[in-house]
Amino acid sequence: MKTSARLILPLLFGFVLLSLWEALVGFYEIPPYILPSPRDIGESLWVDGPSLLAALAITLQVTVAAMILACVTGVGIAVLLVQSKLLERMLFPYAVFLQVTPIVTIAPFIIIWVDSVFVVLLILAWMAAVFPIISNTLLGLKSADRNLHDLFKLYSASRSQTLRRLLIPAALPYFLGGLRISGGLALIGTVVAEMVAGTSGESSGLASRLLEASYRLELARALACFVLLSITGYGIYAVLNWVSNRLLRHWHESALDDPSHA
Amino acid sequence: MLNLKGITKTFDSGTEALSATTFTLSDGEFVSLVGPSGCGKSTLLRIVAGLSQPSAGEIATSSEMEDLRIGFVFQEPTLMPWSTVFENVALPLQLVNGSPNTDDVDRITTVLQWVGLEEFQNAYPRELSGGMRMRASIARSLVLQPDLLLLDEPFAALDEFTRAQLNEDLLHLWEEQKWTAIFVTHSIREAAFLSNRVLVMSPRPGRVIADIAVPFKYPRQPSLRNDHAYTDFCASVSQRLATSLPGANQ
Repeated sequence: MKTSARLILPLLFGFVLLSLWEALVGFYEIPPYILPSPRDIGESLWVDGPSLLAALAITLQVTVAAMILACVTGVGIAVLLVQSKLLERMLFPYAVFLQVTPIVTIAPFIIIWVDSVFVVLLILAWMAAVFPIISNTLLGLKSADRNLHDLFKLYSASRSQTLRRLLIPAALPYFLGGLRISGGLALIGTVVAEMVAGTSGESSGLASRLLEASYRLELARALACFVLLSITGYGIYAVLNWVSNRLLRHWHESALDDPSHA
Repeated sequence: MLNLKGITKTFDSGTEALSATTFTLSDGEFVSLVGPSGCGKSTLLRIVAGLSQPSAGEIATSSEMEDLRIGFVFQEPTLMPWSTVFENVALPLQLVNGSPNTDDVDRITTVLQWVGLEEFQNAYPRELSGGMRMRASIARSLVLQPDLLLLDEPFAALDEFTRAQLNEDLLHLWEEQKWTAIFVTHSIREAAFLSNRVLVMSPRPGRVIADIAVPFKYPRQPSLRNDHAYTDFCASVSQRLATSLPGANQ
């Protein structure tokens, strides 16, 4: 009952909203090149579906590759920074620069320097996604219990033992929190990069298709692209959320079913 | 087994935590440290464990005890929440010996039996009560067969009943195994029930101001707590502690 309500309520809300939209477009006779009705968008999704999904696959490839790269490099950088306070002070400001610089402003340079469109998109999406992982993992690595640190010291644990048995497990919930943010950012990064890089032809992703359709005033198709991208973003979040709960379900407060019964 | 001479500790902030603390510990003793809050009891324990360096003074161990094996029980259970009870108890063995072998598994099972947690070895810490978590913590401190067990107010956060039960269980283990113990506590009754000597510390900067032998024979029964002699003894230690407090010297 509870689970079905959780599913039905948002769907019901969406249905009401779409019906209202449909009715208003019909009532005011708004032309589809200004505002297509949900029915038009649905039709475009159905007709252009196969080609749009192929474009989505390309966008998704870049997004997933960027996420994986962000995980590997983000965790690597965090582990490096936690080794010494000096190193952290020296390098962390640059990680912040990476985060606060709008990737649109870096894109032109990357496009000039790198040949492969895939690599250009990957670099830009990675830049958008990596900071939350660095910052959260670093916080997590530093948040291990003081007394557990003492315990490891008491038994003369090596650096790698402390890292593997204490720091990394302690950092895991923080890392996963960062990953959930990064997943969305990787998609946003890919979309922005596609639009800026102006990919076209065979290798064009969904964002390029969206831009292309909007130039031609085919708003139904542009919105169909938009819908697919939104669903993808939500899907990425849902998958990462599931993975996070799965990994933490035995011990971390965030993954327990009912916090009041912890 | 252990000889502490003039242990002094001044923190970087300038706070003097310990001033010339001196005492001797013989093999198989159970010694309690009592004193007012902030008198440096925990600091002293950390220095004995080698987790903190004294500013002055030295700790000498008897010659045959060069490589003193130390177990430590913290104020909180300090278990790894991501590991089961079994994995938590296995940790010291793994850190010291590398990967666990079958002997280790036997050893861990034995230690878990001592503290009555063999049926909970696959449970995660959050699934246990506060008392059971503390038992797991004690099991972990005993798994490497320590010569010296350091306990830093281990039962302070537990309810009265659980605390009494754990006192008795800890005493049983000690009577069987005879490791040497230093037990830091706020509770004089707890100190008197467990130990053969009570060391009273002064307020900060702490040092040992009284070394009182506890006159009750082992094995001690829970009924000792209702004994008049026990109550009187607690009162006398309490008085000794009170005279050390500021404003008590008239």
